[in-house]
Amino acid sequence: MKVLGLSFDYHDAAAALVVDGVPVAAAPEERFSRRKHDRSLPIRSIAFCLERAGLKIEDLDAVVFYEKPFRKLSRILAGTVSTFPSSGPLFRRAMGAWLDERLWVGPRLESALGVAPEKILYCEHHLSHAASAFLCSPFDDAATLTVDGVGEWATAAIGRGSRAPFRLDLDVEMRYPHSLGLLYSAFTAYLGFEVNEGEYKVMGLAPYGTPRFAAEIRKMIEPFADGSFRLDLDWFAFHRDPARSFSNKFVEAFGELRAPESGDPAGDKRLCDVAASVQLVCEELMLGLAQEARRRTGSSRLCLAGGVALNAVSNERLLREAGFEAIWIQPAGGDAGGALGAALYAAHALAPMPPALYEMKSVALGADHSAASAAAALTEAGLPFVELKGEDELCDRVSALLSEGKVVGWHQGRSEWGPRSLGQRSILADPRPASMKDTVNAKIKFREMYRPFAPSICAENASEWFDLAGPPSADPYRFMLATAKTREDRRDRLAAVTHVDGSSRVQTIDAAQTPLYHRLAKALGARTGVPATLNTSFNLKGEPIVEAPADAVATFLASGMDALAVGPFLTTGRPANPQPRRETCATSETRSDGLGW
Amino acid sequence: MRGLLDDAVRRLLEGAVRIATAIGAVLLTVVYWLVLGPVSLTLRLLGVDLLGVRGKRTTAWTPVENGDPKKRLEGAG
Repeated sequence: MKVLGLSFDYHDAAAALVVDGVPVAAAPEERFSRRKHDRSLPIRSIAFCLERAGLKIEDLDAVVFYEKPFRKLSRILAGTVSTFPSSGPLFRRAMGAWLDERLWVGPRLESALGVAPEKILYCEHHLSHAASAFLCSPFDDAATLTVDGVGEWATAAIGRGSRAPFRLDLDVEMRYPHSLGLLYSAFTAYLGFEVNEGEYKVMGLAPYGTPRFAAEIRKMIEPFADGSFRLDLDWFAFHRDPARSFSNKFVEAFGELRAPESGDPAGDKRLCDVAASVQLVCEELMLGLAQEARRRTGSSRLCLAGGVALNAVSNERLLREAGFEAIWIQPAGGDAGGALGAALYAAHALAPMPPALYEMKSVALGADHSAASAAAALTEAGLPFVELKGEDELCDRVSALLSEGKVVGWHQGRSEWGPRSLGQRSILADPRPASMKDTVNAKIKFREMYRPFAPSICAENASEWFDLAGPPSADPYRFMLATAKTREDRRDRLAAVTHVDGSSRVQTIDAAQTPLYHRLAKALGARTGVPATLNTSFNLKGEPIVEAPADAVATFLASGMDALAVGPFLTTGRPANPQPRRETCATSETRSDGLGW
Repeated sequence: MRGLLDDAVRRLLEGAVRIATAIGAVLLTVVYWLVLGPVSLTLRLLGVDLLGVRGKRTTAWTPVENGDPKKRLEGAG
């Protein structure tokens, strides 16, 4: 059975193709269109998925959209009716978008893809998230917890799944406007970051502050004994304002908001304290939700998805304190992951025979590119390059560069599924010197100086260097989804990747799953004594992660990177006339519809 | 000549889009005040709480009805 899952119209449009219960290709549209958080119908991603599997659209058994649009519209209408007469602008903006395109998902798919109407199906938003976690996990049965801004009506859901016979049900859900994701997003906007993009910047800012506003934030929340809660809407505006998520009362309590992307927030103690406070409250609420999932289902295994499941600090607390034996988190926890979940759910629900058990051990579901295309991109850019003889020489040369303090672009194999670069499309550097963080930030990434970089470390060595909250080879560390404290006696040797509070968003490298990247880290360890790299996503600030070799070359030229390894080729040169830094394609808050309409 | 013609057509289309957008905004405003307004007032008089924000509660969880997995995929609403 061949099922295509799709997410689009909000943020992070994506396509995922599942054949006989196994994902064979999945990619967000932004990788191909080069528009960050591209929300348009993912034509390029669909074309990639089909080409990868050698299929045509008529070969598909079903095309599944990741949510129920009419149900979502009913929520938006209920919200505008409930907040009449202050919701006029929101109503006009939302209805404009809905009448223009969002209401017509089926006809648009028929028209754009030529897919038969009877093959178009719809999977509820949180069911898609739950499926993206449970049906990629190693568990035969487990509890599911999905937490995000909002789907149709649901903002969080607890469910349970079993593989044989297949069953994935949601037991209970919390409903709009009571949302942990929207609470966190309100603070994201208040702190001057883009909603649905800057949440991890808030997480990174939090360790610079103390949670002195936590009590104030708790006043916004009416908690219940079962982990659920209601928001006091006097503090918010997302339910009635199309462009603002918090009210004047909010500003009176926390002080003047930060203008978007202005100045260095880490230099403002108040802003740091606000970030620390909302992060703490987020962790407390997530812990309450997870404990309720445990109590309600009786399961000792948890599958987690939804945008809030990308909060690595909160995930570490769940690993340590929620009482589960094992937790599996979908690496594409946001809406892009819904495409995969919708496809997996339909593949299991529609299959006459139960599909084989699938476990997502690698995120390499994206496109790969030939050596010829890499050579062509380098040649076209006028870059001198050498072809290395095999992986040993590649790792030897690149590890030598890294140990000399060089910053290297690393473009190898199929691109990663999810927002993290995990060794296929990465910018790498030596994790030892503290100055490396500033070098990468200032010369290459052009991003906020306070933000930490993440380490990738050989899984077998990870426990020596980090106080992991779970087994090193297991998830969620494999996919960089949880933080861990760098061991105190090692911090001076991981200075570039250890945050101000001693934590790291560590990725463990599994030799069986990512052998080339593991070999590189091993080679670097042989030179430096630290089997780890500084690993950051291969992009510039505001741009999508690179996809094709030509994107990698363009990013290399527009930054201060010292070398670039694309497939078997290595370049350390520069053309005679370096290109100026190009414009980014960052999407604004209003265009990404961060407020749920 | 061709360039002038293209420019005129482009301006005409841009004008049409602006007019259509303005008409759309007016219509939506009319709908908002003449349809949603009375609906909102009626619901408030009847005490209907669509967003679940009023009154005493002991939980914010709502049970979910799970049916046949195949049927669950049917329909956009």
